[in-house]
Amino acid sequence: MSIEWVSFLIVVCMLGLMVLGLPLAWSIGAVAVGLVLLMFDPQVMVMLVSRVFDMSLNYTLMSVPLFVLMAGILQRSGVADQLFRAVNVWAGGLRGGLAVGTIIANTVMASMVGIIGAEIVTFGLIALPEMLRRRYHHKLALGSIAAGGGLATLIPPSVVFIVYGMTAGCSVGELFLAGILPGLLLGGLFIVYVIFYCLRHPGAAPLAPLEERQMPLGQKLRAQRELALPLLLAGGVLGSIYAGVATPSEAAGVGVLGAVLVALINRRFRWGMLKDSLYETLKISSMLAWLFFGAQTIIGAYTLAGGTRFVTEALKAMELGPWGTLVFMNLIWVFLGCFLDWIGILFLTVPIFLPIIVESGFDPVWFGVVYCMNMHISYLTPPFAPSAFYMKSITPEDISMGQIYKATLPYLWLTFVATAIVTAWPGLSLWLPQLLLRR
Amino acid sequence: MSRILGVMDKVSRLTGKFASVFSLLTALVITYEIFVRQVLVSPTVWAAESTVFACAILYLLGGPWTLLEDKHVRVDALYGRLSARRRALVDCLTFLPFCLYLLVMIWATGHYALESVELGETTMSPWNPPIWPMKVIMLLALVMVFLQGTAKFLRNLSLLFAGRRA
Repeated sequence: MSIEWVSFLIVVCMLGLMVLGLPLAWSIGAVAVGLVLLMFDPQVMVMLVSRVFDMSLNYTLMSVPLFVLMAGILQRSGVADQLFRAVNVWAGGLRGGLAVGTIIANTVMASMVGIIGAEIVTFGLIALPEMLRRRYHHKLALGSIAAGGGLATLIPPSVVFIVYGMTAGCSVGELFLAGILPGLLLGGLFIVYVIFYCLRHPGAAPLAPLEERQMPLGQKLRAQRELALPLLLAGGVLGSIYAGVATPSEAAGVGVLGAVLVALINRRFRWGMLKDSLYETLKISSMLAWLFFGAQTIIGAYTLAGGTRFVTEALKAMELGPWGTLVFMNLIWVFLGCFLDWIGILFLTVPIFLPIIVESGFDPVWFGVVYCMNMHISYLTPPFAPSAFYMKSITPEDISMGQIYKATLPYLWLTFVATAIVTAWPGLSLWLPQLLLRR
Repeated sequence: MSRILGVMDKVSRLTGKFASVFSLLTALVITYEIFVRQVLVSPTVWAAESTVFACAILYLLGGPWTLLEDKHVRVDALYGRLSARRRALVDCLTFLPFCLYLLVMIWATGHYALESVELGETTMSPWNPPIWPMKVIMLLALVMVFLQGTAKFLRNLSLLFAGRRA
């Protein structure tokens, strides 16, 4: 069988199984096993098993459960409440201040939490009731939380960057640095949009009550004390990675104990919450790891069949030029993002795209940021829009999925704009890593 | 029947809960290692490898429980809209590719692990712990995931033919 047919069959089978609702981990693996049995000696499977085994002992993969555990404990230790309060004492005089505050608090929280689910669920429970109580339009409330929560991906630490770094063989520290400015750009765009929206629709965001607006400056500053602890933790974890003192795994490991300390100081530490965090960490890490295992088998088998070379040559034969190829890859990501989540897209595309990108002279770290931006789009594009799903899981019953999609739509357009900027301007992503790490 | 399935669930859940402790253990060992390395300037030989092992145990033995709780990600654009009965039917169909993957993996991992056990394989690092137990754990995890998947399949069958879940 020619490689063209094999590639076609792989795509059809994989998509077929996925549409039928077989979890991605098994879909990918089943296709890989089928490919091996069809084309090679069954003994090849033993080689693929050794790839899977090596993956389970990967040092960088270790940082995933640690960052997830840290996020789980922080999420349950009242840090988000503190952030929300500290940011919002400034919001009183500004129309839409609570929504702007939510996005800012999300950005700060993102520097401690690396998964969007944790952010959206936490702030959905804190900021949504508050905004609805103040008679904010639900569109403004839902959109700012669902879109702001996505920032966990770009602002380090980010599980998406860790997994990309492992797949692409890039330094996770550089990726973390590269994501900061694009993350702030995206957050900034969201904030500007909220302010403009409130100027045009003053009814959508009533001002805070007078006594809150006239809070004396000293009292406002005192409220900022609550920020100290979370910021210290985030600064310690990220700072030790950038300073080169610790690997991401080591920083995350110490971060876990830091999170426990924060919970203890806030008097929120309970054995029950630790147990919940541990169980949640286990399930998220296992889910990711078994997907990784499946991906190892298909990447191994497809490379052996000459597939990656075939795709590279086919893409070259299209003669799009380096930038044309890049735009084409972006379009594929946007399309896949409507149906798959970030990890499925990463495993299916990055191992194939990356060699082409490197050969075109592009920077793999910047390409990782471009990938991340596209995943921001994928969080919001229906029908498969994880941000909207997380949002739905904590909104009151009378808010429908359609309302959530609609509320996030303006932020989706803004994410497209930011993606275009990040793609066209590699310097934005690479400036910080070059300044700090590549001297 | 439903008692056997219940036992399988219990085994998966207990194994998962046991494995979940390893993430906290890893965090403790890492912190201890950084302390003795930076402050006492006498790094351990065992910390790096043992934490990697601990996390591998976490992912591998967490697999069956994650399957039981249906936490492995799937595309539910279509699947999510089906009725419970239709879902059971589709799940019965996709049980076949699931079996293909798991059974072939179990066969290959069996060879891989057996060879390692016979050699008494170690990691060849300065600490040099045996590595074969990790390969046996991987085999065990695959078998447990397969059994948990089979339990799910039997439940779906019972929903389809007896009209209720076992």
